[in-house]
Amino acid sequence: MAATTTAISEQEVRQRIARGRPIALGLGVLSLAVWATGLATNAKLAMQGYHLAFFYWMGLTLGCLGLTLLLHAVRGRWGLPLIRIFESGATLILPVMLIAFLPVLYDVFVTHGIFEWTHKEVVAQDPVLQAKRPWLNEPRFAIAGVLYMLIWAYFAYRLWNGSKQEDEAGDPVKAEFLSRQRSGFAAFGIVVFMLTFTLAMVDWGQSLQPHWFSTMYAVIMVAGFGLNALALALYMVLSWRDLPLYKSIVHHEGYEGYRRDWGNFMFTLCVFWSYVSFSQLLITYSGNLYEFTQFYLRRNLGGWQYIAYLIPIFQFFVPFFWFLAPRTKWIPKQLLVGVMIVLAIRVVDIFWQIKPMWSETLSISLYDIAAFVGLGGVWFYFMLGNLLKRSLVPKNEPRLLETAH
Amino acid sequence: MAHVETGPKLYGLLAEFETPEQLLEAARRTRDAGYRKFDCYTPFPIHGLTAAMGVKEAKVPWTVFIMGLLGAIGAFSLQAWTSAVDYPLNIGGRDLISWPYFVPITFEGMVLAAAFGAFFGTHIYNRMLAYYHPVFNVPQFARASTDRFFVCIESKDPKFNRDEAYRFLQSLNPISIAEVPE
Repeated sequence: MAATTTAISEQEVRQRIARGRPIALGLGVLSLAVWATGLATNAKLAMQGYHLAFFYWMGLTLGCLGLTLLLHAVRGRWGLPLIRIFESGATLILPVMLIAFLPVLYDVFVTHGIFEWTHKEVVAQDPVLQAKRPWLNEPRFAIAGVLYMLIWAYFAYRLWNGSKQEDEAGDPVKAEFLSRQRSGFAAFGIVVFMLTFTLAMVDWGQSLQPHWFSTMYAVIMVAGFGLNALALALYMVLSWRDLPLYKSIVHHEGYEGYRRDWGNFMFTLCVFWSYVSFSQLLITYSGNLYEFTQFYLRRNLGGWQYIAYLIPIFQFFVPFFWFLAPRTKWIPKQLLVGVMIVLAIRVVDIFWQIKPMWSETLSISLYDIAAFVGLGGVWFYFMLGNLLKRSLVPKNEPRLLETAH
Repeated sequence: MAHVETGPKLYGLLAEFETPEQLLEAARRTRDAGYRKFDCYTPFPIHGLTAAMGVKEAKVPWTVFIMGLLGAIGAFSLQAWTSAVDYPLNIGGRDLISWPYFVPITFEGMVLAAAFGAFFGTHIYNRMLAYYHPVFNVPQFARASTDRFFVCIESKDPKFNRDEAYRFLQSLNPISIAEVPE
């Protein structure tokens, strides 16, 4: 009985997703075509734009994976309406993101536009880069990149299948048992995820400026992309707030309603991101060694400083007060506005993190935008496709059903 | 001849209820009847009671917020003044007001002041450290900390009239109604 009512109430959301998919794909393919023209005219600039896009969408995929692992491990009630979205994002690692990784590998071996350490003549004159050669070399980069993705895909698909089993289990008692079983597996997954994520961030982000290093880098990124993935899922659920399935979830007025938890988690992740980001700045500022300060020097000159001011304002101060207010968590629309602010500033933040590695002055190329929209369109096409493959919220989940009725 | 008070002054009327649901209903109807100076006494927190009583806004969060803001401004100003005005110190050629250094102390100042705001705000607004409260004069009230729920309409209320209030409380079907001597 419950299953059939869910199926009916899901229809409208499903139709909306199905309508959005071709638009996303069309926009993506068109943008990628625009980007591809750049390969002929300015391959290096085009490749840099591509890496920027890859970094963002890969990061978002990993944010989804991180939250999938977290939710399965802690079995939080607040995440039940969001978990299918996270799982759909996380399973994009294989094959979508692995294929998206191939152009980056092509650049590492052939065009050499992205990474300074792939330039033979630069490395030949640089003892520091020579010393880092055992890690920063092309074959190791390629093998490790593929290996990370295989490891992540293992966890993403195991949990995807686990959720599927739970949906098919038929009765809540068996579902509960399966859910507890997954919890331990996901907890182990978090450890593996954080280790591989750190290495991947060193490869894909930090090694763009190979003389610089920071032990906070991966922590900043995991907080930022976790925030990003949460904001995306909330954006989707909150914009569907008037459709049958999500109406009872979003508008649930109980003391332990979902919105309060969602708003608080947004708040927490914003604060955690700020805390680790500021720690990196303070330590660098105190140490005052060129090895470390070059990161901020590059990002605080040549026009980049204006963006540097925007980020703490919109990723800390504004969300801090916005999500602190009880009113925000009470009014779905106001929560949605906060989520949209965070989504927008996340893109700016990643742009500010990555782009100055190649450009000393504030600049944005057509290829940056085309690759970003292109990869994003494809990302959404497959992600929404994954979402449609199963029920939109967990079935046989008594903790969710009590609100869905 | 002047009117002479006989017996102690009346603090209010106390009605006793058996369940939180009855209390919520009673609180709502008392508010709707136009009483403003009344209070509820329960053995445990009841969700929705403040809304039912028509308590508009909580003052403690705003006190904490303003205190936190003042603490942050104060701590930052103190550091800026000491290191740039009162005793300028050149540390590694950095700016005299090197704000990244000031952030941890600014944060601590904010937390300290906000905590004071929460602690003293709670005490002041809830009138804690009261050594005497008239409701304890009613013997039934002892069960307010175990299994009974009370509404007390106070005589301070401009609408208060002993007989009218008594009739009103009776209409709520309490277990008992008692006069609370001052």
